[in-house]
Amino acid sequence: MFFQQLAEGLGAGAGYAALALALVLAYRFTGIVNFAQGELALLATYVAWQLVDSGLPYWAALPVTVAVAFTAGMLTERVLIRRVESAPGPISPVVATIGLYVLVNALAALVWSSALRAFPSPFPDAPAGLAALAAAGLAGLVLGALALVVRHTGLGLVMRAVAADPRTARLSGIRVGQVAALGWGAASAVGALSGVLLAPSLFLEPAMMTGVLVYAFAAAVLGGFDSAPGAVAGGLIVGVTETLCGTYLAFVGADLKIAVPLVLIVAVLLLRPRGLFGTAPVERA
Amino acid sequence: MSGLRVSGLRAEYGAARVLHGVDLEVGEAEIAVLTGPNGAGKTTLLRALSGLVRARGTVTLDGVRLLGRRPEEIARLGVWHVTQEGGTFAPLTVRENLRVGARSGRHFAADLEWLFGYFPVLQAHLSQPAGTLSGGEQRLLAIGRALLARPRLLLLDEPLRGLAPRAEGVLFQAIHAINRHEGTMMIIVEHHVATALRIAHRSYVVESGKIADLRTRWRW
Repeated sequence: MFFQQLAEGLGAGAGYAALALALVLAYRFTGIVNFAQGELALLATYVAWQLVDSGLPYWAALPVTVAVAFTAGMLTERVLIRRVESAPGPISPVVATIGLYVLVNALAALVWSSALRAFPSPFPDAPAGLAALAAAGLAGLVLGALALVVRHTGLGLVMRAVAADPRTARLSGIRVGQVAALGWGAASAVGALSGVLLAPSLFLEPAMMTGVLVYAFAAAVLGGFDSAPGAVAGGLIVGVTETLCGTYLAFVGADLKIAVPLVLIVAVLLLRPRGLFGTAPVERA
Repeated sequence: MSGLRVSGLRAEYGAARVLHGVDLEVGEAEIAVLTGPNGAGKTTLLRALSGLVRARGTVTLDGVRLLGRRPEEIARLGVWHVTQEGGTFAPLTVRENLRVGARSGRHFAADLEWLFGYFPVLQAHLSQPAGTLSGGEQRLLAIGRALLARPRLLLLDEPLRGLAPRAEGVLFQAIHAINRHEGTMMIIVEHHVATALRIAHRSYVVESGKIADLRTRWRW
């Protein structure tokens, strides 16, 4: 029973980790917290459902979905974010992403209705616990590949340079706007993975990612909002904590599970505002 | 027409005009030094040349117009600006910082050897995050990264700021050697006037957003 719950917690945590990583990526490249990250993931998940529903095999639909999500993320940065990020004060980008949240959510309801839809599991023949672990493994593979690109390629180096200091990057001849768009594309693609991994257990409907976004924020804050590995670790911790609390603490149950990440957010902000893995500024002591 | 030509350069921050029609030239392989009191507009002038500040007037490098372009485009045209704030990527290692400046990965090892000829101190810190270097070492790193791009024109804003006297001498010797051996044009904003003038081909005195005086090497 415990190991079954642990496996399911890790499976859910992998989904939260992917969305938390998407939040962190968008934040690091543009300094903007994207409240619409979950809804972009929702849109991608509907695209995946539509493709599978049209007869495309799951494993063919997945890369197409990720590519669509990547493009949608880049377009969002180019069309919306770039226009509002230079506005005075930090409020305009926040309001813009909240507006995008509402817009995408309404669009999903308009196109696909509010009906609950069953979403196929990537591992339909495996028992629940094993399928959850396999889903976590799949997320781990994709996130590991992303980490390899960021740490060990020229493109990754340029992306890290832009994240570290956009002005110096500009003065070094780096097209910061293009790199920021790539960052948002990558964030959206990783977010799509979150939606696709969680949809089999949550069922697909327009409000599916609302709660997941709260979990992802908790994971990102827990890991340190500027730390990609922290976001992944935070997601797994939140997933396991939420699942075990819901199962073993009678007063939490299914109804209060959503409060677990909120308690985590407040506790982390009070005790360690930089998060578990948040990086201190690199400077000489 | 080779070299940098600046004519009637004007720039403002909001309603406050900072540059009031600056004219200057930097010839092939020359070093120009900008001196003048604080707030005269020297840093703004460099920022206007590198595209960080919007400006009006005419600026050409080897006949190519620079004004109206974005900083990254201007850098790609060969104008590299090392700001007084540091200009390094703090979380990246020294090697990664230098790789950002290098023209290509294929020649990176040879480029590093070439750079260490001017700044040998960087060799010992290749795996260290740039943010943990001393102020002087960070300045060398920022200039070194710019050099790896083989710029036509290097804009250096107070390169000696915060350096120990011995480090000042080392840096200026390196800057002078780079100019002589590589033919890199430079504009240097520096408050250590006597030190800067030793390597300058021409010196402009900036006051209240205008060029108040021009001196060429034979006059000092």
